[in-house]
Amino acid sequence: MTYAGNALTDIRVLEELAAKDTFVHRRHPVANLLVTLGFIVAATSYGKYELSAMLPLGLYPLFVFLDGEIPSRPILTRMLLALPLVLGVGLFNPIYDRKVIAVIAGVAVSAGWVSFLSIILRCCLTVIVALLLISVEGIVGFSAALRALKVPSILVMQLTLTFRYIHVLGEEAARMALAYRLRAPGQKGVAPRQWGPLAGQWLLRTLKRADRVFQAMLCRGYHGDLPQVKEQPFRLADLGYLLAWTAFFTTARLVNIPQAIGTLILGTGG
Amino acid sequence: MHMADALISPAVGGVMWAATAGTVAHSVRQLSKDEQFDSSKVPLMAVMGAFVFAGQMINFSIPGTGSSGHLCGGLILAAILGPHAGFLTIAAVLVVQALFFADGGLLALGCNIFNMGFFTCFVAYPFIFKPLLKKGVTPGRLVLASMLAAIIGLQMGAFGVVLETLLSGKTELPFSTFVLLMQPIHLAIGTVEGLITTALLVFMNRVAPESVTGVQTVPQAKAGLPTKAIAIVAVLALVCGGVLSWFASTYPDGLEWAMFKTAGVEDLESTEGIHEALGKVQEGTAFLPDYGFKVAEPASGAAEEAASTWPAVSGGTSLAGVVGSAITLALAGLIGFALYWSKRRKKEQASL
Repeated sequence: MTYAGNALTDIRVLEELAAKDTFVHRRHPVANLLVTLGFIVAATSYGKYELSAMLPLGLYPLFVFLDGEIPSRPILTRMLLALPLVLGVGLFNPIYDRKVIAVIAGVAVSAGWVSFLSIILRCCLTVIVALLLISVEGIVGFSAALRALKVPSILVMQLTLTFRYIHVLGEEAARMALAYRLRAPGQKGVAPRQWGPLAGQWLLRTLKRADRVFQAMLCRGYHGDLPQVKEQPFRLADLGYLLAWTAFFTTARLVNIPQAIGTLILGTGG
Repeated sequence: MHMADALISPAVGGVMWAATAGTVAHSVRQLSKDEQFDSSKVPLMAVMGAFVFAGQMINFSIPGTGSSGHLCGGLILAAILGPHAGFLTIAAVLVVQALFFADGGLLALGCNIFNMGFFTCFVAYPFIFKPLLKKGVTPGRLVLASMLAAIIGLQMGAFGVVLETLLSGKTELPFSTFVLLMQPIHLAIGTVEGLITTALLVFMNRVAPESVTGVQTVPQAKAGLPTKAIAIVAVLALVCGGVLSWFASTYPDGLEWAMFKTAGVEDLESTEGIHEALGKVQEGTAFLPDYGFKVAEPASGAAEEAASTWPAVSGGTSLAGVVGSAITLALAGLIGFALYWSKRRKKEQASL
């Protein structure tokens, strides 16, 4: 399968996961979105040398994975793909920040390595929860949450329709790319003299398709706004869910829970 | 150029979210005022967004390098749809990329939309692309305008990444090193982006000139003043965010500051009531009360100075942290197992 084909399959896999019916899936989209944002703010607000203090946050993705019955493979694969850029920037920390802050089991630990590992952990956590959000809500639930939070409808419509058309145009792009590759074996990418005609023809097809899509939408009663499919009231349980996780994130942010547990057990280091 | 959440601070992320939200609101307002913009443009914008998204899946070979690049799309969207619709469209594309491909984080979304959408749609397009085509659209002018606008737009975006990352204070990279890493690589990427955009626009202008509405219909004066104002606000916001984030990383956090102001100390201590009781519990549960690792002995003056400044980590705290982390992970594993077991049991009961 081509890269484009793989990408489209990946999108479908995450979207299909949102169709499940579990406790997390039944929560109001706004609650799930706000919990995710709260998690990300908490995770990114830790100091750059804090590592163990961040670990308790992992409870939230763990809960969503297990309760939402989300397979770990597609999420972790995506997470690994997001790591190289962060690794590239983070690797400079051990180079520039060499002050030794502790010796553990005879090994000197520099502040740079601690901050580097902290960045990696932060990256893993934030990427996973963002992917889990879409695995639980799908684009429909996510759009419903944005509408409920008074995001301009034109932007929400853009998001929904862009997502829908990605499949249509992506498949066309994958077909064109495959056809080109079959006619130009061993060639890396599209030859420069074909850039304009290839992308241009594709764009022209796109514009014509946009027109056909618009006509079809008019036939189905489109009047400038899309009806929301997933409408549900914000229940007390949703509020409780939101408050419970917010309280947990706040506690985990203000109290170094692993440090406290370690101190409680060992009676040192307080 | 997609920034990840791991490298930015909430202060910088929040400020850039606000700047992006302001630009989105401005774009929506301008589109609602635009008489030529009707509901038929909404599907067109979405299809163009999908085009740019899918266009990033096709690799274009770069002559003489053996490598390939892909379309980024900000300028092409502005040229086809106009700057306001183009900005909203690139924003939607970046949201989908962040959600489904982990290409850029959710907190960093404001930064990413601003870096890739604002600089191309509201700076490169009105101040470089449009003026160069003011005297009419010819293939030569289109090549010059597309190349310059794409390269400069991407350079500004890359500089935005440098500023936002450094102001967040997560990386130790010095400003000069980061700039020297980012700008040249994005010069190469911008050149490829410019070449692809040029090829596409030249082809479109020849085959279907009516499609390139952004080249023909958006008057220069109309887009001028608001974008200048937004640029000034954005720069101020960036500076404010950076200064705030420096304070956040250098001085105690908000809670500690408030405690210092109210109680005179950053960490409250108590010898009474529940704290004393918990202290006794701790003494009772500590099975290795005096165990700890040796603190790093400063080998030089610099190391001594480093040890006296924050973060002051002792061997004891390190051990407590490590043991506590292991216990936290074990607890998390137990909770996970309990959840898994409970769900499995429910399923088994349901299937009976």
